[in-house]
Amino acid sequence: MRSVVVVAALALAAGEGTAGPATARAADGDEELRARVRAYLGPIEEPVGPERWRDLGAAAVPMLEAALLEEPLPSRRARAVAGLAAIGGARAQAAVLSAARDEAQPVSVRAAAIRGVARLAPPDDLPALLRPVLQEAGAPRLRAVAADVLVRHGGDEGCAAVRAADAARGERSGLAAAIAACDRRRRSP
Amino acid sequence: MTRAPRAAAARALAAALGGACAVALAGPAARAAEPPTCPVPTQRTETLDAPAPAPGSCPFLPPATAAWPEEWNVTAESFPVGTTLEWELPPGVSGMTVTLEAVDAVPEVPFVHESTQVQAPNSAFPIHLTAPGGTPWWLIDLTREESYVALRGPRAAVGSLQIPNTSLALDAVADGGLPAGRWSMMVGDLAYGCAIVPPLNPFCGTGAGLDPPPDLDAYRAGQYRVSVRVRTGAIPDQGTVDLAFYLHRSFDDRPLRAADAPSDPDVQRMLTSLGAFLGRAGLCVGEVTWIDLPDWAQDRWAGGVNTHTTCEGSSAELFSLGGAGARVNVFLVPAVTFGDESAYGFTSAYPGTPGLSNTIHSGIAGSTEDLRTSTGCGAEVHPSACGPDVVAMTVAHELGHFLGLFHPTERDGNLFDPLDDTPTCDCRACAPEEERAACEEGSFLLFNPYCDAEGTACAGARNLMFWALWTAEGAPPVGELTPEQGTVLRANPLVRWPQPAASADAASP
Repeated sequence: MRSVVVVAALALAAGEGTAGPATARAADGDEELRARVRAYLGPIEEPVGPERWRDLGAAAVPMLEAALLEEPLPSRRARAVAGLAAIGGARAQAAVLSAARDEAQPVSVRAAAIRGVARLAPPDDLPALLRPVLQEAGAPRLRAVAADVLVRHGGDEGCAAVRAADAARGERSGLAAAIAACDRRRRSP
Repeated sequence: MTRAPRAAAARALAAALGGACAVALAGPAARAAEPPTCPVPTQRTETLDAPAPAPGSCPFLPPATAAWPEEWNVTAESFPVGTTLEWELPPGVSGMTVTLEAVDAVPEVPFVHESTQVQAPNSAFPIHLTAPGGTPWWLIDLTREESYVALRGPRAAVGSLQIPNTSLALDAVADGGLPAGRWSMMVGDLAYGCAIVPPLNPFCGTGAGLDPPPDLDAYRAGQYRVSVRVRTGAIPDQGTVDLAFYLHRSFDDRPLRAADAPSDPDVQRMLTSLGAFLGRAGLCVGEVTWIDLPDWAQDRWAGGVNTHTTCEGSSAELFSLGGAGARVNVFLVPAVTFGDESAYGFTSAYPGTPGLSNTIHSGIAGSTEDLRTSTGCGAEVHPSACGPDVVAMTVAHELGHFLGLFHPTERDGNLFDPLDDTPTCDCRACAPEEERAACEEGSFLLFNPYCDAEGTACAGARNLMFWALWTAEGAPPVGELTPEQGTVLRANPLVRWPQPAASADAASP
């Protein structure tokens, strides 16, 4: 079976991986948990994935909130938002939504928060939640990310919201990729 | 299974290789590189007028515009999968790049992964590469200790073997060069492998229980252009790499623009720090070309690059903009995301195809999200606090992958790079004892603090190619490279060698 690893590595992109029970019981104390939270902000290519964030449990939420406010680099704040969105719960949800609205946060952090909304809200609610971003956000990047989230998680209504925003904004709406994905979906349902 | 080599192919290969010079190699091949004294990189701008792809297009096959650097004089000939090619290698060859470019191939292959049927990209790779005397240098089921060539990950449509990028191959080069004599290779890809290679059968062949069954006729109909490029002469201690940066504006208030880049302090800090990282491999940054992505591309990747996106807006489409020339194409984009989570960067292939333009693998990508956060920047390169240094380290790391390097230890601590002098961080030895039960299933992640022992065991966290940035406060200096890593980088054909060491390069068929 020595070929199994090689075969899989050649054929497939790495997936999100699975977090086993061992990671669930990993955090014995605050310091270890804090170290793990910090470490989870650092993967260069493949992120740790939502399961591992969830396995850290609710005790990680205040640490991620702190990272969201105090980390100097936007990339780490953005990853902290992703962790909050994956862990979920009322406190995490409030922090994510607050980050999405916070104009003092770098655009990349707000964009990560918009992606986080997709984890926190039921898919049926996404069009209503993200339509204002599509229509009103000044930063093209926020509109583009909202559209990407709607296309991937918001179903037909998500595509309808993206098309409507694109039509209202006209050329260079920042929604081209999302519109193309909707077109492909329509061609091959 | 093996067909006789086509006479024309053999002649073409022989003719092309006949001009390669035999130059005595000085060993050892892997020496610690002294940080070179580099001239200041030259910087210029270039315009990219690439039209937007037609709606509905989904890049896969290399387009007609795909080109090798003119000065490399590469000619490639097309062969069906299953063709065995042979060529004669003269003494004194220190590097060889074998590239397969799909002319006609299925884009994806149904594949059983962890008991689930998925669609795997149809990676391009030879079924075998065999040295004179019959020693296999590449076979799909060789172990790390047996294989002279390393490649990983999907490489749909275009794939290269980059030699040397293992300790075995480096040792061979140090011992007088790649074995001289008749080399052979069978043209192939994953689909063809699924049809004929027994170890692949339970994953994607008739023994995989696929629904519908695999279309073996289509798998056997693939066609690839093949080129073999060799390099002669000793791998020098120093080299120069040229870079083309493709810029997304990324920021609304201080957009990145090619015309401004040479005077943009954040961009210049990034470039200086990138030079510092590469200097540890004996590399200088030579010519830097700044290129604005066209307006349609600015719009298309306004939200960054999401690796889960296909067709329009995909990374494949972005990398297809990578233009011709003996340089590495670096795409700086507002964000890199894997689904709903952010990453710092990624390479189009492990290793990339050096020099071939406009394919879905013609470059690397890095996120600019930290570029404008320079408050933590000081005199030292400091990627745990200085935003431009984060971008620099990301680019250096992805450049390392593109030119032939892997993570010394993959994140689950179960898979290691093919170099003997890189530190390892084996999960079974380095994870906390109470976590080691998770090592077998690969669910424990070997983060930086677990891999920072002195020596070469439970180490590697400070290596440039470690899989995670060290984000802790007070993190130690990172970005180290071992002598063998440096040699792999300098051996790549995209690295220019100082004139005295350089000699005739040749390409075939």
